[in-house]
Amino acid sequence: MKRLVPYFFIGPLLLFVLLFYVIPAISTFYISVTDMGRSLKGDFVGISNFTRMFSLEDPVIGRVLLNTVLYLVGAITITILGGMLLANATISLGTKAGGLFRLIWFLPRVTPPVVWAFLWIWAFDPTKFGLLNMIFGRLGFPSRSWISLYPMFIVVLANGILGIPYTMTILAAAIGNIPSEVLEAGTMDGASGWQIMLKIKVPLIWWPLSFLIIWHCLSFLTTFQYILMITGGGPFYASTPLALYTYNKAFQNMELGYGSALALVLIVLSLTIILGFRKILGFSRGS
Amino acid sequence: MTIVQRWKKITLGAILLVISVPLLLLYVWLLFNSINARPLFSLFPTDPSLRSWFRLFAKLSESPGKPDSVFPILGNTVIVAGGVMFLNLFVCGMAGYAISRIAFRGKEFLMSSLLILKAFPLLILLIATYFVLFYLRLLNTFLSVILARTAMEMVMGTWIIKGFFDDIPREIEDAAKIDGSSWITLWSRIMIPLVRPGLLAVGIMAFIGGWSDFIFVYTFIFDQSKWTLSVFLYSLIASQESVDYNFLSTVSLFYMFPMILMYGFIQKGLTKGALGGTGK
Repeated sequence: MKRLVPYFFIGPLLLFVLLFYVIPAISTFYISVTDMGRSLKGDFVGISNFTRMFSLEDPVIGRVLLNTVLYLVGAITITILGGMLLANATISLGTKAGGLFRLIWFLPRVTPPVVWAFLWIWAFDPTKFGLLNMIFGRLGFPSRSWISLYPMFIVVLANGILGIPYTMTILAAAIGNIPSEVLEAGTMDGASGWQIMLKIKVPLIWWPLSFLIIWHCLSFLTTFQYILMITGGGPFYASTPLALYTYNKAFQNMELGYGSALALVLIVLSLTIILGFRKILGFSRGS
Repeated sequence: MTIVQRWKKITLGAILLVISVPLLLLYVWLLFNSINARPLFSLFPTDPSLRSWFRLFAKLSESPGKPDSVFPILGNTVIVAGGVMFLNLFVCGMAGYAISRIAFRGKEFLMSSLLILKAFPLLILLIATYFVLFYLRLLNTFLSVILARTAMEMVMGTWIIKGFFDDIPREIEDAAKIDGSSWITLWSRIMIPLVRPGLLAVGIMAFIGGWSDFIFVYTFIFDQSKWTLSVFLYSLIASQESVDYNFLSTVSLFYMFPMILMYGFIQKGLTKGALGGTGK
């Protein structure tokens, strides 16, 4: 009886893990070898969903993969560089001015996803009511349809900026932990600001920095809701990365079989990243 | 401070200003637009009016099937967010206790699996989750969203609560055991009250998670009568009719305000949670 007590306590957790992680993971394998559609019943079709992906049967997959890479690289660059700049600058500006800027940059984090997407749609609205067009109009320029002109750029910016608050918070804590003697010694030896940054700060915060890069890599690889709302992946497939493509195939075209095959690619990629970098992600024991 | 240092600071401040002002302006205009009678065309409200706010609390639409006012939508949002919060507290409160305090077979394995799940993005299982919910006959119910969102939030939550249980001295537990309390009483009467700050932080985080959820509601719920604020706002943005930016700003603020309040409330605890398990 007493031996069962711990299992009683972890029971609900295990049930959730089973229902929402284990069974869906197995089901993804199963669905990916069927032609499941709207009825949620499918016939076995072997590996044809996978051959479809890697052959020319799917003419847009190349574009989608290219978008995925552009999106990952672009958004991670913005998140990390932006967070790094803000963490550094707010620290050297002192608690008052620095704190004010940090408060401003905390706003994206307290914004629900739909409101965040709305702000971007509004900012780049093609009519004269859009914020950017309003400013352009005042300067005497005609309105432009920003979202169809630069969909990928806007999507990268919207997602990249959303990552900044988290990066800023963690990096600010990490930089704050660097003993001031180390930095002073650097200054005494005549190192410039850039040298201190690259040769002293970055190596000392390497651990949280690489954690953030990998964390955001996973996050940008798999989140698509902002793109879904801002551009819908378009025009045509111009701003569709793999995660959104998967979602649209499954829930817009109702091709759950093919969608699952695509999802499986994402799962394999994510697990590779997680297992490859488990040390950095904090999987060492006792942490 | 030397002149060079002062100039450096001024330059830094200027750079920060340049990148922060557009962001701040977005939010300021959100506020100004919601209290202006017409779409904003200048920096400040030109004709202040509460028209949009009155419209928000008045009757919304006449078409059947659609929510006729914002209150049922608000109610739905509270049901989802509250459901996620309670279920999450239940799951995390129990599991966090066992993992922190009791030795059992498979614990090492459970802990390392949890750490992997912590980094695992649940959204890539969305299609299969839809499939599972279909067979559980839960599609188009609030419960589908509550369960899926709990599964997403519980891993971090369990980890945070475990940390709080770790900090309780053993003696308290031992004393209760000598008194002959059963496991359940020990847990519910003595241990749970001691981790109240942890439960508060995890509860609020889960509530925010449910409150802000978009993709689960959008995917699992079909009836417009079960819309939450997120999907309601999205339907207004995506509608083909002419877009009323004053009204959209009002709905956005109305939706966002509780979240700001709650984040402000737990901000300190959040930083701790965000860093937990990252080798610190």
